[in-house]
Amino acid sequence: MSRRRISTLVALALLAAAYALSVSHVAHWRGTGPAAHPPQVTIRFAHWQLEAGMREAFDLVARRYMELHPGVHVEQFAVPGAVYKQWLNTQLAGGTVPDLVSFNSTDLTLVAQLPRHFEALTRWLEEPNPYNAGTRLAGVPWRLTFIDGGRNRSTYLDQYRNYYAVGLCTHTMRIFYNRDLLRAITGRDAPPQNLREWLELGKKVRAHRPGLQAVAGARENTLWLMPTFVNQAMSRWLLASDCALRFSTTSCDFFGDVLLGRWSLRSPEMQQALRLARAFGGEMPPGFLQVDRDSALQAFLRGDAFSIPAGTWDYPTMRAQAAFPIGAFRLPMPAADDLEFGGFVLLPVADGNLSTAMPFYLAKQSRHKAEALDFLRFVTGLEGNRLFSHASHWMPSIEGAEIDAELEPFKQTLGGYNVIDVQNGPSVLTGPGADYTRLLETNLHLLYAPNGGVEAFTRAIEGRFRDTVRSDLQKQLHVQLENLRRRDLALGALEFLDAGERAEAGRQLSGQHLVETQACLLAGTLTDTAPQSLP
Amino acid sequence: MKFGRCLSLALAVAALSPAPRTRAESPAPVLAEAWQTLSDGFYDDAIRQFAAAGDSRESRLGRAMAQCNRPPVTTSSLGDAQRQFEELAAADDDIGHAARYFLGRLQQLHPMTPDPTAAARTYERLVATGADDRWCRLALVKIAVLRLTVLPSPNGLAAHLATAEPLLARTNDPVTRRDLHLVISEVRMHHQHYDATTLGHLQAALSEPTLPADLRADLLVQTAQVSLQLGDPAATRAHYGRFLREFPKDRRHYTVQQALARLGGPLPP
Repeated sequence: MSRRRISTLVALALLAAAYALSVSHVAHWRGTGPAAHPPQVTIRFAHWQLEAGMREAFDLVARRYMELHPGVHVEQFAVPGAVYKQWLNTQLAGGTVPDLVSFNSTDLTLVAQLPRHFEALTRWLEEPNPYNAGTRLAGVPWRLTFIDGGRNRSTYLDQYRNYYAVGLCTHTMRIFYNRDLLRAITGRDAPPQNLREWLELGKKVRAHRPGLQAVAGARENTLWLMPTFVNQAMSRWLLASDCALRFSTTSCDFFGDVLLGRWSLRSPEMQQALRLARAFGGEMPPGFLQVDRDSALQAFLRGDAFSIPAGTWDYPTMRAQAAFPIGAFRLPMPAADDLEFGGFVLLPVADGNLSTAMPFYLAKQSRHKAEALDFLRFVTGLEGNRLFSHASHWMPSIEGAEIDAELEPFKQTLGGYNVIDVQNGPSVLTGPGADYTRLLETNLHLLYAPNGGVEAFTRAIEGRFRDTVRSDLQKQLHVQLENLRRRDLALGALEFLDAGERAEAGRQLSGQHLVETQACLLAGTLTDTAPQSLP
Repeated sequence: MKFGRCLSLALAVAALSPAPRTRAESPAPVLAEAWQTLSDGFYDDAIRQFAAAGDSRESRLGRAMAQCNRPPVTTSSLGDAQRQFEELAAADDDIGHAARYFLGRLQQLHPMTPDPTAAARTYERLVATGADDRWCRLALVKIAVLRLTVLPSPNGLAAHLATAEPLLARTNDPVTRRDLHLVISEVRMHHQHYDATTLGHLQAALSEPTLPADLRADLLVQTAQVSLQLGDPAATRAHYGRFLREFPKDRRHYTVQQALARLGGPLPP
């Protein structure tokens, strides 16, 4: 036998052996199935929270879950926020999206995409969370274990009358301060209780040391916080636009009233709102609108500023870097008897929108939906949520989940007035859309300039104010109609599926009728008040 | 040559061996899959699946529906969808009625310049069949929306608001009647007509037992507030009380508590 022939036969024998091995492997798996050899299920979740300690907190929760479920492996994908949206869109298009995804669904144009890519969670949210068995939340529907009843503009979509996500934590805006400086300046530990006390404290801080800032203002922080502050201080006025008497004013109600002539930029209420904005920004150093968030944070951490307005999501970073004890207080509201600023406040005001944050959505593409859903239940059960809160220094989303003592100042005030719609509430300062926001923001320097003020600001924008409101409401209507067209066909299609889907369509249709009615009413307001229809 | 023969044999064995099922072997898409795809908003895929499912009337209806939103939406593509709906609408059966309903939806929602009058006529013709099936019931509510909001009414607001009332007599279906009450009360509240008629619609909608919870929460608050305006504090107390018991996590809980404590007065402070 020649050497060449022997080599050929050896190669063929190896090929045959490899083939026989793979056939036997496949036959073995088909014959015995997963019961004998449970496959390792891997579930993946994605988020963009890269703050100090966040990835470690997620790892901790995942490890605990894997201890309880040895057959499941949990992986996190921490993707930088700057590229997160593009990354997510690529994964969705490529069919490689992780099982659970966190993203910001408050953009109305993204709302239409949700039912295409993510599961509605409503039916599971009505059932108890099994991870709360044996606790005081045993038997309570999962939805009702969240501090906001599971319902906020990220988790619940009014348009579809369905829940699509659950939030893992809660965030509030706070003014963080240097406790050592407060004691040195005032001789006290108690932070200010209302707007007037806060303004007085600001004067003392500036007098305490040349160059010491009362508030480390930055463009982003101010533009996040000030709209909430002004809304809360003007809540009685916002409620006046609630013509449907739901105690829940919508953006269309409130800004539709501009078109109907019920208020204008010169109305006393709006002028008061601008005075509040000026007082708020007046506590920041000159030029704060040009300062970025990181520079403001560094000024605070260096001790060059007494306080900084920020979201509680920044707390883990601050506590890791500050050389002084940090305190926090809520946005100071005007007292009811404050003659200058107190006329429209409803006290106590609810803390923000009483919303949970960091919503996680279950991808339709997931191959392990049951396991992914179970992981969501774990991390929003009392044990998992407490674990996450403790490790991340973020507030839990589950009512009654224990928190560390240092997080007490961040506890949301659950009892308080909240009079705006959870899905489409108005914001006096950011308006019904991007044009309004741009109009006000690009002229904001006039509100704070030494030779500026409310009147200068008003004069600069009043010629464009009403048209800008109209243009934004028209865009809102456009988006609403686009969503209606999509949803109309989706619900129609469900009518041809099984009884469960038909029941779901029926459940959502009543809400759809109302959404359509409201869109038509907005269209009517826009038509009736169009410039050419005026006498 | 012998090596070549061996290789051919090995490849033949491999080709004949059982292998994992691939996409190509998947069963042909059936109608249910196509409807599911359409409900998920994948219009191109849905059209392909409907086409692969055969040329039944149901499949043609699905294709026409998907065509309404399949990008790029143009006058011509909407015209195609309209022609398909019109062909299917000739028959007096479930598919025919669905086609008429979606023809109305197309006229009302999809073109650059919608034609609510034509849509209302299409819905009217569907309801006139007297079938009282699911499509006729939906059409009835859409007629109410159009009459109350978009269609012109020369006789003033009160007459305008009354145009939807007769529609209630045209169905016995409790859910459709409830939805009509919801739509009518919504428009009356928008125009700040806080009167006994509005209260009647709110109460009727609220009494239907399958009302979704979020709508029920709104209706309890609205009924309480309108009752108060009409001088019935007992009804206000009762409705606020039900709201507080049934919706302890609603963000309006505190506000309603205060409103209940100060019936008729301004909210404190």
